[in-house]
Amino acid sequence: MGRLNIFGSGRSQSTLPNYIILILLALFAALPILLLVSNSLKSTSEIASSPFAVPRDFLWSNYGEAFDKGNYAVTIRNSAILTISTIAGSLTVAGLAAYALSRLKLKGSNVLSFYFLVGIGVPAQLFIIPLFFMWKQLGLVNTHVGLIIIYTALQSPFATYLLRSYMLSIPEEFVDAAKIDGASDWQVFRHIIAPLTGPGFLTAGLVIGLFTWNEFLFAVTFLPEKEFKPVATSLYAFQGRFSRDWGLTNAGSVIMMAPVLILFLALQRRFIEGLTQGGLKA
Amino acid sequence: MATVQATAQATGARKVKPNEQKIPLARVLGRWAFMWPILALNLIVIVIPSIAGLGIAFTEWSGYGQPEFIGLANFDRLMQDAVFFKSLSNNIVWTAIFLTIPIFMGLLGAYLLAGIKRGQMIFRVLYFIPFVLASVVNAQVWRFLLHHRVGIGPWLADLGITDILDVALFGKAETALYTVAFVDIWHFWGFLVVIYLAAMSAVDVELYEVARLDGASRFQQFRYVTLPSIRPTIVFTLLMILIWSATVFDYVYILTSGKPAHASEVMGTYLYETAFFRFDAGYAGAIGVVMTLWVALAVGGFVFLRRRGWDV
Amino acid sequence: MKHLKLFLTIALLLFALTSVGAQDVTTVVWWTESGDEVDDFLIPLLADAFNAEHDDVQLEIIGQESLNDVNRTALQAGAAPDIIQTPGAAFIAEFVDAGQILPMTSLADQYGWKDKLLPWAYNSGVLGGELYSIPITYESMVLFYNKTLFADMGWEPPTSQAEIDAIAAESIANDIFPFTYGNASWQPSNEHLMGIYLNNYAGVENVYLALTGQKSWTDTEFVEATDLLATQLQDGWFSGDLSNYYANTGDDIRYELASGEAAMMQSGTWNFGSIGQFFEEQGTEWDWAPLPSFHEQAGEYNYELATGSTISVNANTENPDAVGKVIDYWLSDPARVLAIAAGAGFGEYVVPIHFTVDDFPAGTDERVARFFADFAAVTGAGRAGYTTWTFWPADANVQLWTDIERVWSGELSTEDYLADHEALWEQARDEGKTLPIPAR
Repeated sequence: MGRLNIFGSGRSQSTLPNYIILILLALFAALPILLLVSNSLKSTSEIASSPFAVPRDFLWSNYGEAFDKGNYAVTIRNSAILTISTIAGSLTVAGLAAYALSRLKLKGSNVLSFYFLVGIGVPAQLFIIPLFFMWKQLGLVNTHVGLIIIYTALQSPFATYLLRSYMLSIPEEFVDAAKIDGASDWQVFRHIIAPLTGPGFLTAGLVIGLFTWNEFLFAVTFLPEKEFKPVATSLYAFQGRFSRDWGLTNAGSVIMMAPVLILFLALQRRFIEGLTQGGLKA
Repeated sequence: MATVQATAQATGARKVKPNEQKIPLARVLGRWAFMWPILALNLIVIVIPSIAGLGIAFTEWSGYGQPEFIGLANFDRLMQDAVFFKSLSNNIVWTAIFLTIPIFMGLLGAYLLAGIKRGQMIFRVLYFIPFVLASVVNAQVWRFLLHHRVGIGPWLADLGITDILDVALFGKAETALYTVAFVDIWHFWGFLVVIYLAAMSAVDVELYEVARLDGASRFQQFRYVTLPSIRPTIVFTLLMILIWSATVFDYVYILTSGKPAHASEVMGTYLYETAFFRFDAGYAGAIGVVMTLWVALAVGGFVFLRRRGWDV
Repeated sequence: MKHLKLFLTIALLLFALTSVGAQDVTTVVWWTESGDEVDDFLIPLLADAFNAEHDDVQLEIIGQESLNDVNRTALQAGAAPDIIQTPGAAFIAEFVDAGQILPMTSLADQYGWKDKLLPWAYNSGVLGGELYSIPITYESMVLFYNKTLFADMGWEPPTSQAEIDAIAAESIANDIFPFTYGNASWQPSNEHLMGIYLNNYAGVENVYLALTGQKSWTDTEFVEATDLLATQLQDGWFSGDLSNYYANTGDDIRYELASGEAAMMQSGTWNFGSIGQFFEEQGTEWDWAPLPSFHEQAGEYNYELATGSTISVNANTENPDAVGKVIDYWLSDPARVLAIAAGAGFGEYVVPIHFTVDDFPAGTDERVARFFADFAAVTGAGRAGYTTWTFWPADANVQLWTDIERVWSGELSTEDYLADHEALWEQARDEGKTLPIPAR
């Protein structure tokens, strides 16, 4: 998606009003975040006395304290395990499925596509209780692997959509040639389709990673124990425990948001591409 | 891999299409093997538990021991549960809010963005940032800004503007739900901007030129060119909002947990509390069924409209 | 394809292995609410000491955040620790119903816990003749006040409703909240207030009669008690507005009291541990007084009997005897109990066993010592009230603190609220789910 200007370059209608409103909207979106960061460098009493000013002393120690008290060494590790494994699992599962849906003439692939659409719409609250009791029987509650399986199942339909559209854009000739040479479906996938879908995997991986890192409902249900908690639910507990210590809890929030924000700013085109593709006009 | 690709290019000229040949059964089965992992996962994590979820709704079950079949008793109870109706009506209010305000903001932002040359990218990124941040982080931001003793309220009060933000908006029965919705909108609307902008970029520029030659104002261009052109995208976002509004949980749970006196309770939080704090899994299942009906109606309506030939 | 499956299986197995810790030693695991006092006092003074003296059994104490939520899920998942801690005796009933808790009666007989614990405290853990839980702290409700503010205003701690009214009127005239409170961190905080108003307005005798089924909760005294609290909340006596009450966290209210934004706080002695730091920050002083009677019918002031957190034995534990050994080790040493309690500022881990004055560590805060002395004297004289989380059956208890919000918001009448409450009591009596009430 390039820059576009629907008003053309002819007799120019003034864009000044556009900019005024756009800037106001930008302030609305970004100022609160900026304030969070700024206040994470103040003491609680400074926040109380001058909540909107630039930090006086830049209290970096809030970060060290939040890191310790918020148990981030453990929770970041937990979130990293969940996120990386879910990305790996979902991309594998979705890559295979997308290949089958886009390249192999499967009977019923329309039905499957529809199921994936509806499957995404099933409220988590309907199946979370039975799923919890199933997982309990299988000993998967309070284990990372249990939640990774759930996340993989939840994320793979969307990833399949995304990868499918990438695979459909690969010219048929590559595949045909390989098949004539006697390559099996698996070989075609492994050596031709998968490598050519590389950018698609990156995009899908980013989107999956974002959702996994931030996910709350399943994490709070399936990983209640402190030692397994990811950053999202542990930060929630941390905010409750130090509710009045705004400097500390703000620093805790910034620690959680930093990796996502940096990654997003670095790769924002891919993020947005990932989130806007995949059947938004279903 | 490089060699395979080279071969592919070298032989690409031949005209035979393998797909037209008859495919042996073994190979068809082999092809399905690519689908097994995703199907198995979905079966285990979503399909089976969802069916079980429908079943649980007809039982009395604490979560321990054997569920006891009690027919429609849970639904009878729902019909007399004032808290459930409060939750349901809050979901409806929530839907009404989200079908209007964020859509309007999204369209406005996208349309204005589409009309500028410089800085489009920067604005797009800024609007999108709240959407990529976790609900827990965003909640922290607004819990602070809207706190009655710190934040914006007392600051405004110092300027003489009182009784608007220097009250505990999350603690007031009249405002709790709307305040949570506000925070969620702040997090969500940038996503719509990006989606609508993507759709608008696909609109044929000539249509605008024709409209301009006809003397259409900016609003008329939006009304008669932009809106019809991106209608499928708008309808899709409406559908998504309908679905998400039935299942909303995060922001409510984190910011108010349904308080005070269930004033901000939605079905999602009520179900959660019922299942995990009151050990009433059967009754919670009944709430889940209502939510599923809502979603099914939304998706069904959408499919019906498409069947009727609506271009959505 | 095969390689991929193999790879996935191995990856999953690896994660499974890293997620499940190895357990070779006979270890008794106990989760408690996390906090500095756990790391600094409970673990060194109890776990480390116990482990040093025992080779066969080791005690592992782990601090958890939101312990109550964690326990519920872990119990459902069959992954709970050997010792299960709940926020109060009322919470244990549902776990007992569900068969999750092992009776401790035989352990108690073996070790003589009945004699070690205070009688009412021991009885608070008895259900249907079996001992299911032991309180690991006891507490009561008192009136905290900002001593600096009281001195400035020339106030004395109130000893009657009339005096409360006078202070409240003067407070409001000076833009001070008469009371501070809130339930944002702990929704059941509602019951702290309800319990106080029932005991101190209707009187402990009437509450006793209602608890034992000789009087109905719908009687006038209780209606008036409920209305008194509702009116005060609606009139903004608590933190200025009902909405602030709902938005205030535990930290917020202690801040309001310490900063002098509020004059008084009706709350539990668990605040002894944490309230001091707020006053230090503000350069003010705190003190407490007994909560006065709100009505003549309530007689002289009383202290509510309350057990705080309790511990129980997980029905799935592999070694109940080891658990018994751990518990007995703790209950048998008053000096150790008080040393740990002192570390927690006497806000937690005040195990209700028999102490003498000499057992208190040197340097115990005068205000705290004064409380324990007065509590023993007053309750010994029979002026003991009943906290809702220690003496109410589970369903009635939950209804008490959830539905009261609908009374305060005006959706539910006091009469209907109390009628529902009475109905739940009758149901609990029918089902034999009431908790033991110490005879007067």
